[in-house]
Amino acid sequence: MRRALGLLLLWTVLLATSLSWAGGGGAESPLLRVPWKVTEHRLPNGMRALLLPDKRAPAVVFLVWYQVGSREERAGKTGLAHILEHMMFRGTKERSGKEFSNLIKRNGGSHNAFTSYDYTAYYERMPADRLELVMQIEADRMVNLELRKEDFEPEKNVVLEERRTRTDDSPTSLLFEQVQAAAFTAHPYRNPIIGWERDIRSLGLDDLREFYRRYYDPANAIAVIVGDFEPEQAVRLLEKHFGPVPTRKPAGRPAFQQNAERVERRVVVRKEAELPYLSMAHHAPHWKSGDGHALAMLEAVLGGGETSRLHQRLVRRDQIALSAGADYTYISVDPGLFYLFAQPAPGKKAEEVERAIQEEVDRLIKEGVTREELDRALRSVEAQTVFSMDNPFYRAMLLGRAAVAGDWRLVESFLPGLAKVKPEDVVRVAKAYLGPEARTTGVLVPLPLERKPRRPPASLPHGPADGGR
Amino acid sequence: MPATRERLFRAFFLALLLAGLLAPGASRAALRYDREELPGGAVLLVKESPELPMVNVQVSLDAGSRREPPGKAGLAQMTASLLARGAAGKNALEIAKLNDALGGGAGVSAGRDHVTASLKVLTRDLEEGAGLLADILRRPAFPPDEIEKTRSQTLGSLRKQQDRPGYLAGLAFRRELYGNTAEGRQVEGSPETVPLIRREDIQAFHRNWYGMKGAIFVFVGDITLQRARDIVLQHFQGWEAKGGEAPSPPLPPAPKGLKAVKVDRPLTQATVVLGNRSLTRKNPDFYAARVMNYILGGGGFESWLMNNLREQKGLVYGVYSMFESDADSGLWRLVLQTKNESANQAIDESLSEVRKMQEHGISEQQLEEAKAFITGSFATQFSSSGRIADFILSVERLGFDPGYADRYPQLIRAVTREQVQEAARKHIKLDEAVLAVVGNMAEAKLKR
Repeated sequence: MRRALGLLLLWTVLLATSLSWAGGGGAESPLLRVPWKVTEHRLPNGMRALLLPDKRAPAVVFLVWYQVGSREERAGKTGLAHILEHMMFRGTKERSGKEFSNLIKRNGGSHNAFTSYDYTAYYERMPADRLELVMQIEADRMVNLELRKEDFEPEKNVVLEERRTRTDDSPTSLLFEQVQAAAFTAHPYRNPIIGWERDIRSLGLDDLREFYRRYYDPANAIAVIVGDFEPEQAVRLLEKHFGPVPTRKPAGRPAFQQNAERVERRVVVRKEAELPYLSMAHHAPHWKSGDGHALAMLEAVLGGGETSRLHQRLVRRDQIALSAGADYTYISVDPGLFYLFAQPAPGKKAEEVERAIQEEVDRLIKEGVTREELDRALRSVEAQTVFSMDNPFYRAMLLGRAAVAGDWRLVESFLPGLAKVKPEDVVRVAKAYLGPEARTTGVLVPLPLERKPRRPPASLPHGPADGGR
Repeated sequence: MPATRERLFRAFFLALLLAGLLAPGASRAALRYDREELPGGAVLLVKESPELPMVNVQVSLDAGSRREPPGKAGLAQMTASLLARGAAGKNALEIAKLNDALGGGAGVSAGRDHVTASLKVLTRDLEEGAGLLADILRRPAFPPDEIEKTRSQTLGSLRKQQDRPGYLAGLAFRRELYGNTAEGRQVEGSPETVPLIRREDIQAFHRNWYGMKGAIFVFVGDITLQRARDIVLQHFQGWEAKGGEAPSPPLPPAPKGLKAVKVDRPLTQATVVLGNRSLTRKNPDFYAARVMNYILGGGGFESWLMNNLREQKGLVYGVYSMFESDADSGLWRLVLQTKNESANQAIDESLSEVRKMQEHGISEQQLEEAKAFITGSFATQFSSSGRIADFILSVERLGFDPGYADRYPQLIRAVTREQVQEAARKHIKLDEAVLAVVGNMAEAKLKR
């Protein structure tokens, strides 16, 4: 239904900010010139929307983020969030999956969806004048999804194929999956997003129905719109299409906590591969902690780009690795892992690169970092942030991920936070979080290809039923 | 944001979205940009879009792997990789520090036809960035120790690539279809050829092929035509390549029938690449072929291949087909992955979709829907300066004028059903095709 604009504004919490990132350049920061004006709006049924106009092209990106991911899956039911995402393309009472895709395509749009630990998101990229169409479609599948057995069986096989491509036939992916599982003993981040194979096979339609009913609710959804549109008109359309969707007033997200155990773990994956791999995971706090910004700077100093310490030491100086880096997750619902990793060069062992990484961490703690190093890192992150603004879809990703983690304004406070980090902060967090006593180290030990495949040919009458995976 | 390794699982794989960069077609906001010829035989293309305080620069040179002797495969790539490893009196670390401080947005990559140097900088850093680009392109030092480092890096990554089934299948497919020509070789070279590349080869390659003649300079973003011209002239005027003979090894005869190439690996899935040599991008049939392929296997969930193999039978996560066509060569290929045991079935189903297209063509409604997508989505792609730069560079490389973006939708709209079917018959050649499969052969038991 249509409402007058004045009434709508009552619901609109105008939090528009002209971008005020101080960044490294202070008042001269180029970020001051990034056109960035986010409006937040809340519908009476609890659905939220973040609106960011960007009129460079006559296109609009529309995303619906559900605040549910593999994080919400119970033991034995892993892969549920992801397979439900697949099933969301199989049609509603209104229109079949085929009609749904066809409708988007013949209106010049593209669409897809993605699932992560913390969220499941659906997106369409459309010509600017088709915004209403995608809202109709997304509002429809928010409540009217049809979950049919004849769709579910092939879809399970599709997901098993996806798992084979991404993980089972990729030695490094398999290693990361196992490291993650070992590092988190209590938190659901231990489970792969795509799910364990046996769980995927055993999921039933009832599991999907329950999950859908519980989490696909307007009060659990956040729409993000970036592109060529007028915020007032977008708000009117949101009211019209999502306004009537009833809410069951879902409970907030369940809380999980990883134990603060100080245990060193080692995971070894032996698999046919050309080269070994090494990954070291450390529990580290995220954006809610005062240490978050220092950890992000530590990530940049150790592993951000060609001048980073790990690259310079392992790849350039010692030439024992083909690549080396660091990966820290600042924005997530619960704290994640701070990874250090390296791809050993031919003829080099994982243990060699492991020693070199440890030495670099020790050296950083002992000798500290320089102001110059931090300034270079900051300048680099600042430039990369502007570069990322070039892509409207990426803008929408930043907003959505931050909103799901707790606050979309994290996108704005990130750079000023980094600018405040001092060299001694970086050393302090390295000491606090990168020690071996709470580390999970993963090693891929390559097996030669000449070995026979683990599973005998399926036609052998007395072969084992399962190859032991 | 920190560069996080996003672990996202998508409803279908992104290759589909990336497949058609030049392909989408256009209407409302046509893309306007300036084109100017510069002294020395170079071309300048500028699209001013000042919304963000950044500039996207690309410099394209005719210095791809097509120029290298087949026995030294990898030479073009190695030359390109070494540019930033010492130039104009600066060593590798000094250059890396400068680049990192600019946001790490400078890079050089080699392809079969071209080398592309790209630079993404904040407007405030443009002078510094352009100077860096000119130094590495014009005055590289090629220090011997850096050559050895790059060589062992290249050999290492060639090894690492062997763990990727898709890479292995693509390699086998191209080698069979194109032999030792540039299309058949890997741009990175091979474990046999990379050790043979000497410093003199690299210096000569740079001397012969790096220069203004044939160069294309693209600027998109917070910049005017005037400023772009000044920058190019200031930094690149008088830059001359010596030129030379580019080798042209013979193209092997086309396969007779469906030639199977099998690579046995202990994998759970078979990766299948099926295809043939096909039309170039300048062939007038291209538009019909584009519409045809969109319907057959280029259009996401509702393509015939996806509908059959994925939606109905659950055989694959992804299957797609595409034309890879450029100015001088072209191929059509179909790619899928499926568990070893269903490889035969997936291949059969794919072939039957192709034959259906060739024998029965498409309906009027299918034609209209495909055209609606291709033309309707055209303008939506120009939403970032990076994508605009890629687009106008590819238009120039093909020898089309800046009005091409305006004509493209009309060319698509003019396609008829008959032309679509004809394109399938003429440009997909199952009797001159290669079928490359990487997987566990004992489980796959291929019939072909």
